[in-house]
Amino acid sequence: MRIIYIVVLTFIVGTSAAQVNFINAGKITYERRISQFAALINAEAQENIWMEELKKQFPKVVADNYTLQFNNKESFYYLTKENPDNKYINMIFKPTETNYVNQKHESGMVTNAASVFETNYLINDSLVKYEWKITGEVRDIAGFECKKAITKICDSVVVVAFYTDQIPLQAGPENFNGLPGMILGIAVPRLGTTIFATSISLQAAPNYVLPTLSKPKKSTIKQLDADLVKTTKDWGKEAAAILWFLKL
Amino acid sequence: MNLLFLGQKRLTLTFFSVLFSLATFAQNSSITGTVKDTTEKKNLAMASVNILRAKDSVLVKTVRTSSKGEFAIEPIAAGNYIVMVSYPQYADFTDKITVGATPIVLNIAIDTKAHILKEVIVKNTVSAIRVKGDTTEYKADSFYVTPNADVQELLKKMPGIQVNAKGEITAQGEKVNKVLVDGEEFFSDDPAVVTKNLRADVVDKVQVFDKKSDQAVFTGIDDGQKSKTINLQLKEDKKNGYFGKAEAGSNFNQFGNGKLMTNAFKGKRKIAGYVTTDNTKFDNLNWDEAQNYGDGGNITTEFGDGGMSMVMISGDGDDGGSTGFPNQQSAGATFSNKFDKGSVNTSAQYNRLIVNGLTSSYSKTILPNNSIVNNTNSSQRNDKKKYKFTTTDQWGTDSTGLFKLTLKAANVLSDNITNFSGGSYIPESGMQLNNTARTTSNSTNDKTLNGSISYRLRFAKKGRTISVNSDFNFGDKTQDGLLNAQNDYFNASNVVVKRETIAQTKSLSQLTSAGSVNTVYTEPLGKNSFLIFNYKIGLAGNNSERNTFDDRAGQPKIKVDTLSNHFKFNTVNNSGNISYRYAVKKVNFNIGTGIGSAKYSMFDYATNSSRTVNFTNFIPSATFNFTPKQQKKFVLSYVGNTQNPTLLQIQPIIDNTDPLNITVGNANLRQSFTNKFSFNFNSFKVMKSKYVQFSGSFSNTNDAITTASTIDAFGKSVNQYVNVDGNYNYGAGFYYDFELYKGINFGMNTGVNGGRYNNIVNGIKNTNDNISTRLGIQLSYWGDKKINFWSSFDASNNKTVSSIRQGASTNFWSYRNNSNVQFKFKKAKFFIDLSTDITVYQKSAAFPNQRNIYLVHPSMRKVISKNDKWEAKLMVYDLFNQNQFVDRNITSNFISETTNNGIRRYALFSIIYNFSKNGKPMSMGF
Repeated sequence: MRIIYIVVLTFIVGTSAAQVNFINAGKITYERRISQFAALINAEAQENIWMEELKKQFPKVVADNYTLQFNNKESFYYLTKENPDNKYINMIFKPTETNYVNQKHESGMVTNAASVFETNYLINDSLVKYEWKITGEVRDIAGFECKKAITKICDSVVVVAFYTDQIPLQAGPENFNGLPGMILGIAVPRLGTTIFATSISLQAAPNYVLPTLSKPKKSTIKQLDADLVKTTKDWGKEAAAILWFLKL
Repeated sequence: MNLLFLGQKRLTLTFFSVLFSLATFAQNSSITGTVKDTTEKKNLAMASVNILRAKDSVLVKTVRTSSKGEFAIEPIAAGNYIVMVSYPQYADFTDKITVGATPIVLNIAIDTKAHILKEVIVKNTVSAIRVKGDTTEYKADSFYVTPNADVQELLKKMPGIQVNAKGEITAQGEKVNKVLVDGEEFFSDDPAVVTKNLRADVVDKVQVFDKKSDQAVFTGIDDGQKSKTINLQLKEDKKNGYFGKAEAGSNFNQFGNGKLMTNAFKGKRKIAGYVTTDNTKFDNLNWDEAQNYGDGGNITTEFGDGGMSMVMISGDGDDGGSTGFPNQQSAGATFSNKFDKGSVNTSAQYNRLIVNGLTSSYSKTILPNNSIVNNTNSSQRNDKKKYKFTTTDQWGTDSTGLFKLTLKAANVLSDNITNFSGGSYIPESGMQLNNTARTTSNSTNDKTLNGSISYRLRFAKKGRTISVNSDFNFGDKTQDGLLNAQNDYFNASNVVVKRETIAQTKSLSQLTSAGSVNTVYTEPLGKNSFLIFNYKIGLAGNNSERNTFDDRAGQPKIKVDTLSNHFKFNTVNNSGNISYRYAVKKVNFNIGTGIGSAKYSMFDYATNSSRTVNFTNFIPSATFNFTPKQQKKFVLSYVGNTQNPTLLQIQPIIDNTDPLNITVGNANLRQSFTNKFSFNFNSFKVMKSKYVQFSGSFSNTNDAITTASTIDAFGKSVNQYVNVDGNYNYGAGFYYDFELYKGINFGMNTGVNGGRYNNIVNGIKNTNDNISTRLGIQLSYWGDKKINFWSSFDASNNKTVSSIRQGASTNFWSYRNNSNVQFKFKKAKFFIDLSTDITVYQKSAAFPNQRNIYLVHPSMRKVISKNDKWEAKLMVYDLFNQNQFVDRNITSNFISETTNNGIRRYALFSIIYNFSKNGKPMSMGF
């Protein structure tokens, strides 16, 4: 026992003595997994016959790959490629290649190209502010040690995030930002949704060409929220899940 | 929950308070300092320095140290904070600080993880704990937790298990990596998520064990890799329970209903049953009740990409009727279970339905020189008992092969008596043609067995699938009947010139069997295109014997040869189809062609003669879909279809039930061919709540099969099926729906349908041109909270011109309104519902009777007990006492109006009792 202990100790001391590499530019691949029935049922809090039928027709989980390119100033988060084999239970789960989130940390601004139903929103606004609770729990994601933090969106929906100190840019998937390092994992239990990094590669600078949206509607986050509330107000219980999802 | 850190670690803290006390800095202060390595005493660059609010661990500020290892945080409000410093491969440093008016300087030294030792705490076990092999099991009920506590709280109470403030679980000194629920992974493998999301009182046992690696489980070879795992065994009784409903209603006179239904479940196994009695309506169970307590009916759902979906619910279709006065009793039981790889659903049902009804009809046949009006009245009583058994079972999955078996066996016994009287006259001259009075009675026993077996397999290669579907049907029907009729025929001076009296008994026995196999194979050709092969073979046989006897009182029973027959029909259908499908993101099209053959043969036992007819069919089709955007779609399609004449059209069986309408055969009847073109465009703007749809179609038929009628001076018509050319149909429609004002939606639809239909009347070719136009508007509001309503108003016009008599054109309007308003007083648990169904027909030359029906059905419901178990309901059906069923029909030179009676005004008071344990009925959800 003692011998093993010493070996481990030497190893760790050995690495700590070496220079720690902080990553200032690179490319992260995330996998977004949606447990489709959970996403809708949790919000409705009651199973119904309709959902039973849906369960027979749709896969339980749909997965899509996203890419996040970053340097020490900004990040671009976008769908890597549409997966035509995915069967989405609700059209809001279906991602689009022309959508992206560009977090600009120098100016504290965000540009979000979001296709919501038939409308293509082009949002220019300040970065969304989240109130993060740091828990100190750690777990490994894609080989990086990540710390856990918790926030709430829409007053009640808990979002769990895992960030790494090793990537200093305070960015993350979708609109998430503001933790001491890059967010490599997001879990939203009530929406049955996770976005976890699967690989990280080094890259000198982002090389992402912003796609052109057709007929973009210039807007702000506040305006989009107001539009969504107005649209979904007579959608019954499912509206809550849809609103939460679109607010990710 | 406060997620504060419990500093168990030995840390070094150097704390300098520099005394700068300036009153103006009372609100905002600053924190500055350095971060260095304890052992190497080297300043660390890029270390993360975070300031958390002490009361809830919320991140307030985060900075990185400079290349010199220095940091500065300002401004920062006065208060209690936690400083957290982290650096890769170093242990986190955390400490509490209080920021006052004075700036704080922190010099922080951190350790590599290797320098930190862990403590292991092992506690003794108590009696509520059992050790089984390498599993330690805790009985959850032995540990007291507060009501509504979560599993985390429960685990904290268990010896040997620690849960720290972060939600991390340590069991027997080791960190728990996985929490399972009933042996399965919960949504998240994060133990904190599972334990916070599950209530303590649903847990039966907590099992702690070392889970072998998946590799070890698969190979059976222990590789020594184990991770500490907790399994939460849920209480069985939380998965077991029942729910049900008892309902009794009465108008304290002749109308009433009663229902008792229950569903008991254990996990996924379900046993449900119901008993009902009702003389106010035809359905024994409503839709939700059929789903929860009955066999659920046959639901087919189709889901398209992008949220468009369609649900088809098909009942048996033969429980029939909606007119007259019903009285029914029913009972049923269903057993169903679901397994990992399949499901079973079996049910047995009994239904007895007695219907008494009155029917009157008015019809007019337009002839070249005059017309014939026929008025009839009938009363009928039908008593039907049905015993039914169904089972639907399924095994497998799409990728390993999916088998599905459906079996339906039914035995139907029915007795039917009809008293009928009627007569025809010529309205132009007022001349009476005939009068008829008849009584028929039949008692029938119909036994059927229908089934299908299907197999579906999706191959590993994307797009390659095979499906085989076979259907089989067997039937055994016997019928005994009586026909007593008197038919009088008049001459021009209204004198009876001919009287027929019929007193016959009839018997029928019919054995049918049919089977078909349909095979579809799809093969991908590259990424976006597919070939689809389809082959279908069907065989059907029918052996039918019908005997008619003259049976008059005091006279011997004589078989009537002209009305007795014994035939055997056999049909063989073969068809093959090949189509090509191309699908990319926005465009997909399908083009295909098929060929089929049909062979009909008939054997006549009386004459020992047989007849065989062969047809070859050609079935081309093409469809083009264009989806420029989500929720916007354009479809163009063409279908060519061959329609074969039926054997009964070529050689009918003589039936004298209605001696004024006789059908004769046509051996030269050819098949018809129809070309149909259609288009559809729809666009749904979700955000704007706007829906637009256009559609149109055109079809023409060559060699259409229609009737040639010869009507004699007594109004007796002899019909024969013949081929004609020049028939066509067209239609166009437009629908628009948008949000009018704050959630109130307004919709409008308009459309036109028309066509030309040729037939032959008394040897003269008759061309009928029909145009119907409609216009409708709808208004709806779904408030969900206090009020919901929808209302629709439709106006339609029907116009028909027959070439044999241009002057006698038919042209009338009808108007219809349907509305429903619901008021909800949720606090008082009181609900009011008002629905209306109004039909107004225009008086016209063709329909001299004005048939306006104003149906209004108000009802109210109140929950009368605190626990929602008791409800009282008062409803009034047909407030204005107007109910009747009117059906108007115009086909070629024949127009008719049929009126059936139905239940009129009554008030029904009902009491409903809902009972349940651990469950509740599912609803449709919208």
